Amino acid sequence: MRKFGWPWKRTSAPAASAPEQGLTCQELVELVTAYFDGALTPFDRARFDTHLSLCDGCTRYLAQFRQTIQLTGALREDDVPEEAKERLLGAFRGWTSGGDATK
Amino acid sequence: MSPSPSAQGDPHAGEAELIARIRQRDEGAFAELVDRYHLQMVRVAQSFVRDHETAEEVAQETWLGFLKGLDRFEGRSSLKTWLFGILANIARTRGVRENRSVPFSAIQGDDPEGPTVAADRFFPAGHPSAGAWSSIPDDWEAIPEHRLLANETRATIDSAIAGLSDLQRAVIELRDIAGWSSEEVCNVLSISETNQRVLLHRARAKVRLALETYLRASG
Repeated sequence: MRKFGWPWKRTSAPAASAPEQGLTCQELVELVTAYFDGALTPFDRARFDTHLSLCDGCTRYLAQFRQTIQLTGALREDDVPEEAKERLLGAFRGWTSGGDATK
Repeated sequence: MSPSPSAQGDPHAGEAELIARIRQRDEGAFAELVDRYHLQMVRVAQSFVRDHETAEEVAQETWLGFLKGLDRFEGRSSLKTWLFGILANIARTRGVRENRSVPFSAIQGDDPEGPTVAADRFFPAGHPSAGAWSSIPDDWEAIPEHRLLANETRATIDSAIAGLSDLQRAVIELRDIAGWSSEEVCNVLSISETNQRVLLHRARAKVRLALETYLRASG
């Protein structure tokens, strides 16, 4: 079991996002969608993966984000309101009878 | 859990057959297509025009355009591409009339909203752990499935989505509910890949925050 700890401990003075120092948690959270979409550069992806392998907080954040997407995806689309549907079917009937309901 | 869910199944299933039936004046087939796409159309239109009523009109007009053009449709592009192409044209014309010729992309492109996670969740600049979590995010894996799938959880997500900007809402609904690809979303909304990603990320982050707030309060 890993222990919780501050994931990204800096031993040297921070130049906030100098690449050789990796990402901070605060930077990582802004890149999650790009990471999921495979849109990070190989360099940033490596920094992301490295950080993640060391950081319990970001691992949890990523899991939360995944669950958010999953739960959103489980929402059913609403039904088309009856009124709108009736109007469209009316237009369809106009079209089938060769009238100019489509004009 | 997979990050790319599509709860609605394959949206293209049987489209050629549906079109053939509509050409034979089968009302049921038309109704099926309306069920499949109408709300998505209203949503997309809503990102171009000012109010819901106008968006609804744009969608209606698109269906009329669809019926008119049906005999000329040769199926070289997918039905969805064709349908939403008509929609985007009509919506854009309306948008011009309403002084909104493009979606809000131009305005939101430079991302004036600030960070998606509040700065006070991290150690501040100057702290030895600057930029690291000051308190670790909750473990949602430990939450029982039935709580995550409860109606209240759904309602929380629904109302978070309802509170988004029109364009953020269009993007998250098309990507995460309707299961569109990012390319399809960019094309129909006329936004860049980068812009699309920023909008989607913001939208997801807001839904996540709403869920976090809800799960903490009810836990």
